[in-house]
Formats: sequence, C-alpha cells, structure tokens
Amino acid sequence: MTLSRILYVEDDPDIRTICVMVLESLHGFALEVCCSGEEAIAKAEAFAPQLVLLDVMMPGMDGPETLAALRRLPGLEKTPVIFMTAKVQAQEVEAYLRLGALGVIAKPFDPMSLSDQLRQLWNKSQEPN
Amino acid sequence: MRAALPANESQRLRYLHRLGLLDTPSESDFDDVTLVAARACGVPMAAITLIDEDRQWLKSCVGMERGETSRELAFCAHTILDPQSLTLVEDARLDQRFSDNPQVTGAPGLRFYAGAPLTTEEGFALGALCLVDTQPRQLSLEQQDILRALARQVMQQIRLRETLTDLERTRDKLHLLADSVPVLIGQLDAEGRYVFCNRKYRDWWGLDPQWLLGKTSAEVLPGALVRGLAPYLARALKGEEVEFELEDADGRVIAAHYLPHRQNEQLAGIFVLASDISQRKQMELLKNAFVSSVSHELRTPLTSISGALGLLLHGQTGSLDEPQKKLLDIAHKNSQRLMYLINDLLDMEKLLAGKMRFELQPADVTSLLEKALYENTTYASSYQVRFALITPRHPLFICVDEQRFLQAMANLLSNAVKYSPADSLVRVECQQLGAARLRVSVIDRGPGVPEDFRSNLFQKFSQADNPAARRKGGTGLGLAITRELVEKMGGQVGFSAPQEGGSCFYLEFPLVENVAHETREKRE
Repeated sequence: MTLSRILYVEDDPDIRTICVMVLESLHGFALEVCCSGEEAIAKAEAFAPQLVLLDVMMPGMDGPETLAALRRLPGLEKTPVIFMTAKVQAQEVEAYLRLGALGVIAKPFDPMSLSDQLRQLWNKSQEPN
Repeated sequence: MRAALPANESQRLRYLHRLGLLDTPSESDFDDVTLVAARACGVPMAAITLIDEDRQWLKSCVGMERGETSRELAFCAHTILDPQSLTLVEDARLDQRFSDNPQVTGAPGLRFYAGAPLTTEEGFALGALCLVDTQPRQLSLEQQDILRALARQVMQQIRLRETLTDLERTRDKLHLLADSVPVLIGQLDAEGRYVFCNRKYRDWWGLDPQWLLGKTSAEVLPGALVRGLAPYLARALKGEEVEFELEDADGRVIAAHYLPHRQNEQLAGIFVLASDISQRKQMELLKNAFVSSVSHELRTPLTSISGALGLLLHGQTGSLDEPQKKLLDIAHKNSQRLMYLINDLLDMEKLLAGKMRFELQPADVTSLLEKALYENTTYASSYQVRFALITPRHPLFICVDEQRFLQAMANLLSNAVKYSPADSLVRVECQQLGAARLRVSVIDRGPGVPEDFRSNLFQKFSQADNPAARRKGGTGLGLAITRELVEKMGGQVGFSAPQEGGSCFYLEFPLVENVAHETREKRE
C-alpha cells in the first residue's frame, strides 16, 4: 500500500498554499485541507486519512489537543500523525513524540523534499514491528 | 571667691561632654575608688566630681549626698586650674579662696579639702577625686600619694570607658551600614552558629534577632530550606568558598556566597553574603518565553517565504530566465540566512542559559570528522572547495556530544569554505598533543584574519564591525557558539595564523579511554 490520503491541518493560509501546491499539485496526494483543529475533527472520520500532517501552534485547539481528539474518533485510533512546527527545541520534539506523534517536520521545511520525508516516515510506520 | 576658668576651657568642656559620663548612674568601679580614698586617708567624705559649664556633678561619693552643686561654690573648680597638682586646704576659713564660701561660713561647715585633678593625656582636668571634712586636718605625704594614685585609677576607668564608647559607636556604625545595604549579610562561627545577621537577612527569613544568635541554621530555618542549604554549608565549614542559588517555598531566589575566614590557619567562621535575584530570574523567564515566541513568530512567515521561493527556483511553476533565477536565488539565500540567524540566536540563548543538554560519550575522532566532512561536502562543492582529512594512525577517543561536536565542526568548516578561493583545499588535521590531548585543526588558504581582529574572533557578533566578513554572509555568532559548545564539552578553541597564509582554527579536547571499545576488542 502506498501513501495517498493525507489530512492536512494548518492555520497559516500562506503555508497552506505552499503545502497544497507541493503535496497535491506536484506529488498527487489526495489532501483534505483544514484551517483548524476543530475542522479537522469534523472532517477526519469521513475522509479516513492514511496520515495526518498537523500544525502545533493554532488558535483554538492546538496540535496536541487535536491529536488527542483524533485518537478518540473511530478509525483514527492508530492513524500516524506528523507534527509540522517551528517549535523544535529538543525538549519540545521529545514532548511531541511522547504524545504519540510519528515524527516532527521543522518549519521552515524544504518544499522539494517534503513529500519524500512524509513517505519515509509513513513507510516506517507501516513496517511490522 | 569664684574660681577662674582654665585656659583650655572650651576644649575641656567638649571633651567632657563627648565622654558621655555626666548624669549617668553610679557605678561600682568608681564607688570603690571613693570608698578606698576615704578609708585610706581617714576622711569621712570623698567624691569623684566632674565640672561642666555651671555645675559640679558627683559621679560617686562617700559620706555625702550624691548630686550637684553650683560651679561657683565648688572647691574642685579651683583644683582643675592646676591639672598636674594636688590642691590642699587644711582649714578653709584660713584660705581666702574659700573663706567666704557659704559651705564654709554656713552648713555643712566645710574645713578640710584635698583634691587630685582628673587629668587626661591631653591635659584636660575634667574634675577631681576629692576628700572633704568638717574638721581642719592635714594629709600625710603617703596619703597624698594614695590620693594621686587613686585619681590615676579613676582616669584609667574613664579611658576604658572612652575606648568602649568608641568601639560601640564603631559597632553601631557598622550595624547601620550592614542594615542599610540591600544584601543579606550573616556571620557564622566554625560550628555554623549565627554570630551576626543584618536586618535584610533577618527580614528575609523572618527571624527574630532576640533568639537567633548562637543558634544554627537548622534550628531557625524551615526544614526544606535547611536541606537545600546543607550540602553548601558542609563544604563551607570545611573551608571551601561556595557560591550557589537557592529558591525557597515562596519562589524567591537568592544568589548566595559562603566565604570562610581563618584565624591562625584555623577556620574561624563563615561570612554569608546573599542577594535577592528573584526579579532577575523572572526577567530571565520572560526573556526565554519572549525568545521562544519571537523565534516561532519569525519562522512562520519565513516558512512561507523560503517555501515559495524554493518552489519557484526549482521550476515547479514553469521555467525561469537567467535574471529571474538570479534574483530569486538572492532572495532564497537570504531567507535561509535569516533562518540560520534565528537558529544561532536560539542556540546562543540556550547555551548562555545553561539549557542546552549535552550527552557526552566517548567517540572515535576519525569517524566524527568523516561525518562532519560528509555533511558539509555539498556546501563546499557550491564554493568549488574540497576537503582533505588527515587523521592519526590509531583510533583516538574524545568524550563529546556527537551532534554538538558536528555543529561546532560545521561552523569551522563553513567558515573555511566561505573564505577559501575557488578550487582550493581545506585541510582538516587531527594530531595528538602530548599524552592526554588532541587537536583538530581546520586550515584554509583564504585571506586570513587581520592581526588586530584576532582577539575578537570568538566574541558574539564579532564580524559586525568587519565589512569584508559581512559580505561573506553568516550571523557573526558561529565562532562564539562554537567556543561555547566546545567549552561545555570540556574542550578549547583557538586560532593560529599558518606561515604560508590563510587561517587555522582549532579545537582541543582531552583524550579519553574508550571503555566500550576496549571491552569489545577483548571479546573479539
């Protein structure tokens, strides 16, 4: 199975535009784009993503709160979640991983290697333990 | 007859008042002298008198009422006119100075008077030790000697008192000073018992000065605090100077300093100095929150800028002509430069705040350097510069945090590359210094560092004043961060100017034995 369906949550419209351009237009992923954690919770179950790409600092529900709420939705209990954030000090990254994130992509990210990074992390999560 | 005034009257009076002896209660030290004087000379009345502007005041007396008489009537007012001699009046009725004195013509009918002046070293006669009788009498030479000797004893008492008063004044001044400074000052003896605490110290811990002295901190401070202080106090009581910071249950923070002091090579006690740094700590927390928030706020727009520029540059939105590509390249490089600056600022902040964690482990320096070169090869290629690595023949181990070591090396390597002419070589040499140290040198063939600038090389933002360096890009923090990183891992940084030109930046670390490595080899 290959990675194709990504739930993407980001409150900054400019970063959203770039990510959508990279992931949807250039690499052909099927994206469900959400502007907030609340919107993501509302759309996640119906979209049934293979991966969630989640901003951390958002007004309303932040990334960790959104992650916790997603885990309570049917079918999303184990869906891999990757945080994309500018807050990447060592102790912050450790905290994200402890929350159950698959990985962390630091902002600013390299648009040319973003899809490879996502695929690598996702493939790793699909390997049998 | 009224006595004349002594020639030094005004200084004499000033001295007398400064003594603070006038109008004080009776004291046995003085009373004993008057008693001995009266008994030894067989006279019913004796007194120690002090003469001020208008009265004779009795500090001590035997056989008469303690109190004062007017200076006009005082026999002693005549005695102080000759500070070095006894005044002897065998029968006052026959002495013209006293024959009309109401104390002679009326009650109590004084006849005999002998007064030894109480004279200071400066020659001020303050009053007299005097013997009085209502009968005329004579004083033998021996009794005169006794009277003089006892007057000297009175002066000795007065001098002791004077010294004590001076000491008390000095002590009060010191206490006033200690109570006025915004610093906690304390003094403990060699067993850790309080000898002194200033007001700030007592107020800070809420201590009662009455029962504080002679107690140990364990007896007067809250238990949690005592446990916090114990290890530092133990070290100080062994004679070690100790500095530490301590937060109490209310979140107040002090920076404290234990200063042992010695007498004859023995520990005599400890001075405790501490200042309130709660506000500074709060400011630091605010600053950290600010730096973290600002870095996030700066990175978010940078994400859009560098992301958009990256996509354009890689032709994802159609091909670009050369001028367009060149301009976008400038914008992209500078957005990355801004990113490096933010990262460097964050690193510097973490290093200075002591918040950067180091996981030190023994590592083979050759494999570390190979990694460092590999990670920077792409960057070197973009400047058409190559690396050459010269490593020792046998494995050498240093104890470092691999990521931080690579970060330090990346700073040195990128500097060397930036300043190297195209098609040149950057040499990375590793050599052992003596038995216990190792040096890693990064040598380039660039323009070198001007001599007057070398002392600033490892300072923060050192290239700010160096326009030539600014043109090369970089944040001016790289070498300062390198130094901090290396020093935190127990190493040193340095610079030397190779004879053939260019620059040589080096790192030095102590060599360590690699326990894991050796064990593995033995098993093999």
